[in-house]
This record gives sequence, C-alpha cells and structure tokens, in this order.
Amino acid sequence: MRGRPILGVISGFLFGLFAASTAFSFGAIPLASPLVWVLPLLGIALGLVMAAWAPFGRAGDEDGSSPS
Amino acid sequence: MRHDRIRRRLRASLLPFAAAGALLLAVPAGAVVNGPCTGRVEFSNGSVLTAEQPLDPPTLIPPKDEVAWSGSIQASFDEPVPYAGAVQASVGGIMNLQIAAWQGKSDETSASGTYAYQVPAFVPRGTGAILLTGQHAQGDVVCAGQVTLALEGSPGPVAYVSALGTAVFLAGTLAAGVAKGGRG
Repeated sequence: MRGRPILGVISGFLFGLFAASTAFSFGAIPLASPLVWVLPLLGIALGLVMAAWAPFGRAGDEDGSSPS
Repeated sequence: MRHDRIRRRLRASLLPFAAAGALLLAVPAGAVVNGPCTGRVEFSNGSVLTAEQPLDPPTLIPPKDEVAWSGSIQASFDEPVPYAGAVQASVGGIMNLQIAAWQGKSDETSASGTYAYQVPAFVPRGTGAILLTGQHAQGDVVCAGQVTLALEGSPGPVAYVSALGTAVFLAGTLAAGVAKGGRG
C-alpha cells in the first residue's frame, strides 16, 4: 500500500463510531440500529481503500507524468 | 486510465454497503409483549407506558421524574415462589446494556408504587429511539416485552462534540490516502 493503512484503519474506525454517535445524538437513527456497528466497519473499509488508492500528495506517476 | 479503473472498482465494491445501509435504516413498528402480564408507568409529562404501547413513535420521557408504576401477572401462588427480571437497552441490535435487574421470592401477583429517577447529564437528550427489552419470570409464568423511549430535550454539547469528532476523523481517514514519500 502506498498510503497509510494504520492511520486509515484507526481514523476510519473512529470516523464511523463518531458518525454513528452523531446520527444517534441528532435523532437520525435509533440506538438499536445495526448502523451503530456497521458504520465503524465501513469507516475501516474506507480507510483501507484510501490507503490502497493513495490519491493525494503524489508529485507524479511512475512514468513521470503529472497527476490528472 | 488506471484511476478510472480504480474508481469503477471502488463504486462497485461500495454499492452493496450502500444498499445494506438503506435497508438497515428501517425502524420496526408495533408492540411486542409476550406472556400473561400487564404493566403501566405514568410520567409527569403525561406520557403513559403500557403493554399495548406501540414501538413507533418512541415515548418521550423527561430526563428527571418521579413515576407512578403498577404491574401484575395473571397467576396465583399458594406459597412464595422465586421471581427474577431485568430490563436492557439494545445497542446496535447485537448487544444489550443492563439497566435494572431484580429477584427474590414472593406469592404476590401484583405490585405498584412510585419510582424517582434521574438520567445522568452525560447521556445526550433529544436522541433517536432507545429500544428497551424486559423480562419477568415468577414460578412458571414468564413475560417479556419491548418498548422504545426517547429523552426529552434538544441535542446538547455531547452531540456537537460528536459531530466535531466525525469531521476530525474524516480528515484523518482522508489523510490515509496521502502517498508515503511522494513517489510510490
């Protein structure tokens, strides 16, 4: 992976956890909703995808061309 | 070209999660009460909880109150028999937090009284529904039920801190996509 997978997993998990907490706090989802644990898992998946994709901060591609 | 391929794969892999999320947002409706039991709780704001109370919409209760409660089971006992019960809050549909539990021995089949409670300040107000499940068993009689509650009030500091945390960790998650050392 060219990005930062450990940062992605930790931040993604906490992002999902806080997103679920925010949705519950503002009355968008009930406490019993499976989204309470699904969102942290989706956050981890998003963090891993970002780490694998690594779309930011590259000065150029392998062939030296500028990023689009 | 490579980025287009990655984007297409990313969209395809996230579609099932999006569909599952939309399905999971559905909230059940209708009361669930099993067993020969009756119960009633009256709150000072006029809310009344009974076995016939529907799950949707949730019953709004004050964060602090003294309630009048009563309960009975359709049975009779010649001598004291063991009883036990508990109330739990469902978290995510897979975990239960126990709120109260009781046990003992009695031949009484009904009870009533008042109960004062105060929800701690750190528990957010104005939240989504909280599903409570409860059971009571006495001798051979077993009752179970469900009810949904919501605390009166508007989202306070806890909700805004939570929203801030969401933004901070979203930034952290996006930062995981910064390539190490510039070129791969």
